[in-house]
Amino acid sequence: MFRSVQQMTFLHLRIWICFCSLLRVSAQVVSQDSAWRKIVLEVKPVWGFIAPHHDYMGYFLEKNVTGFQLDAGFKTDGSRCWHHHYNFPVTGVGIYHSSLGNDKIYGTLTGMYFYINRDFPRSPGPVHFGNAVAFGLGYASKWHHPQNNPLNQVLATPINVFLQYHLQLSVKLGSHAFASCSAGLTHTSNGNFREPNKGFNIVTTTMGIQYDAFRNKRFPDRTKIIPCDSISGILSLGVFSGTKAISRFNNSVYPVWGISAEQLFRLGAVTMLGTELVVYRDWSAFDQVPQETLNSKKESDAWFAVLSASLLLQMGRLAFTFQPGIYLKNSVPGNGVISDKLGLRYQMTGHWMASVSIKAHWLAKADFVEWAVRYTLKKW
Amino acid sequence: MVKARYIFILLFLWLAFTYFSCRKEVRDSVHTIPIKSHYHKISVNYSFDITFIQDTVSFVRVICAEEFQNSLRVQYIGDALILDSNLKALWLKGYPRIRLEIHLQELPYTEIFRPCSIVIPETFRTHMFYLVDWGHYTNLRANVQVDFLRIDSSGDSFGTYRVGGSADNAELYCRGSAIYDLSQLVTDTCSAYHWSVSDMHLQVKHFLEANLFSSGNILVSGNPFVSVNGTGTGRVIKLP
Repeated sequence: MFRSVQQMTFLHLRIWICFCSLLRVSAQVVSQDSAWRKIVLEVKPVWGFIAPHHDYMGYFLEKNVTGFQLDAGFKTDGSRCWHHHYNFPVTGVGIYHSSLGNDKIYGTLTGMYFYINRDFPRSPGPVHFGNAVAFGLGYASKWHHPQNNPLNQVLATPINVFLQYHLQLSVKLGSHAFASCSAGLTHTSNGNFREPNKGFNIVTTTMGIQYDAFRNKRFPDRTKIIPCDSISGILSLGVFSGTKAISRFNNSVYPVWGISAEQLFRLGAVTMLGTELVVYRDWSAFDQVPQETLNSKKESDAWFAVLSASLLLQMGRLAFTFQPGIYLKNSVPGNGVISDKLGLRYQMTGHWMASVSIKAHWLAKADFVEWAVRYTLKKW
Repeated sequence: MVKARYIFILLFLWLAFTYFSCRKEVRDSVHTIPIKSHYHKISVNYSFDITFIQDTVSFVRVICAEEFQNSLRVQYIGDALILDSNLKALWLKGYPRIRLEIHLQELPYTEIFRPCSIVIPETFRTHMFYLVDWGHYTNLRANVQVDFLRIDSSGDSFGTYRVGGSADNAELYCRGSAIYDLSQLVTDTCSAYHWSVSDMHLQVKHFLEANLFSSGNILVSGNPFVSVNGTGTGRVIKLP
């Protein structure tokens, strides 16, 4: 894959520069001072297996997955409302590296991600139970090429989305040291930016050592009441775009443009619930309608409408969004009736938000990656 | 706290032991299953590595680890031989491959539903070689001497089909991105229906009916008379 040792070294150097930069940003996000005294480091060997969702994926698997994971984060100190509501989570960045079951065809996966790791309600004993979510980008060392690697029908691009969810158990070993084990799911795919895009679902388990500089210290602001966001509702408009591919047999990439309107109501201190109406034009629609209806195709066939529920989990300026919905207008039979969206939203200023989401048909058949900006029309 | 710590260390040791014990080398064992001598059809419903061998006696030789021998299902439904397996959760079993050596007098119509490897190492002399791949991937390496040869692959196929030997008449239905390399198969007449984006390689002596529906080309040697039909952008390229 690498033409020379220098090229490989340069790639590793770039990965480390990115990692250190992300760590620095993460430190700034968590606290203004003494961030390094709240550092949490974790080294975890990874064992797992690919869960093949197509028989031809499974056919080429030769071995289970082995690798490692390195996390570096900072303990939240209770200075913000969401720290309390998420039970003082650790936020930070990490690196994941593992094999993918067949070195010749699938190669290896290297992921770099932001993560949030939180204990479930704190127990006074030495055993803690929690969960961790990670979002980032993954680099697959082998990807589909019609001539050079035709047997890889899983990923068509080297850079992909990286997602991970783990349930985690940690046990105290010393004043700052913990042993941890976790199990969960790791996913990587390109959001249908290119075909094929079956994606890897990896059942991963880890056992590692955690150093927590903050764990035994008192939370200075734990009993302090921090005022949460007082906004009880938001009405916003958004504009978004994306690109998608529909077939591995051609190199065509189609644009998608659309607008959306969303109304949200306060459900809890850090959660909002509402609905979103999305209208978009998908230039690939004409190439997806059945052959027998090609002669009768209309401009309106390229327009789609989706009505979704919106659930936001807020963490300061950042929010995770979950948006299950249904198609109100859909001219491509293969899309089904269910539309689904999972994303991240960032409050840039008082009125402007930026977001990135993966839109899917049914539950997990990726349609496109949606890049959006939103403007808040009204708050109350 | 001390108790929890010891439990955790024991759990760690147990998992480490389990992991390393899964890496043991497994030796293959060989079992022989007698089968009927004539069939109308063979259906392959599981991923096997299959070798067809022409023989006067019909039987299947199963080559895999002893613990997986019982997973093979050889059934007869009407005049069809069904090959299947109930082997699942391969990640727990080291991703074993079951190799089948099928000894037959003549080749029946063969249907494939799962990714497979099919090899005919020595020239199989029979009336017909007719293979339909309903799945996505088959790696075919065959050497035949037949009156009639037909290969069909599905619209999602990315398999490779390499056939050598001779056939009086051949019909080929190539779809998806399947690769048909029949440059070592000498045919008198051939009808090729080419939906694949890959190129097809043929050797035809007298007449080639080329139906092109995609961007894949047909590269043909043997200087036959060629009739070209279809709406594809692919071309027929004559090789010396």
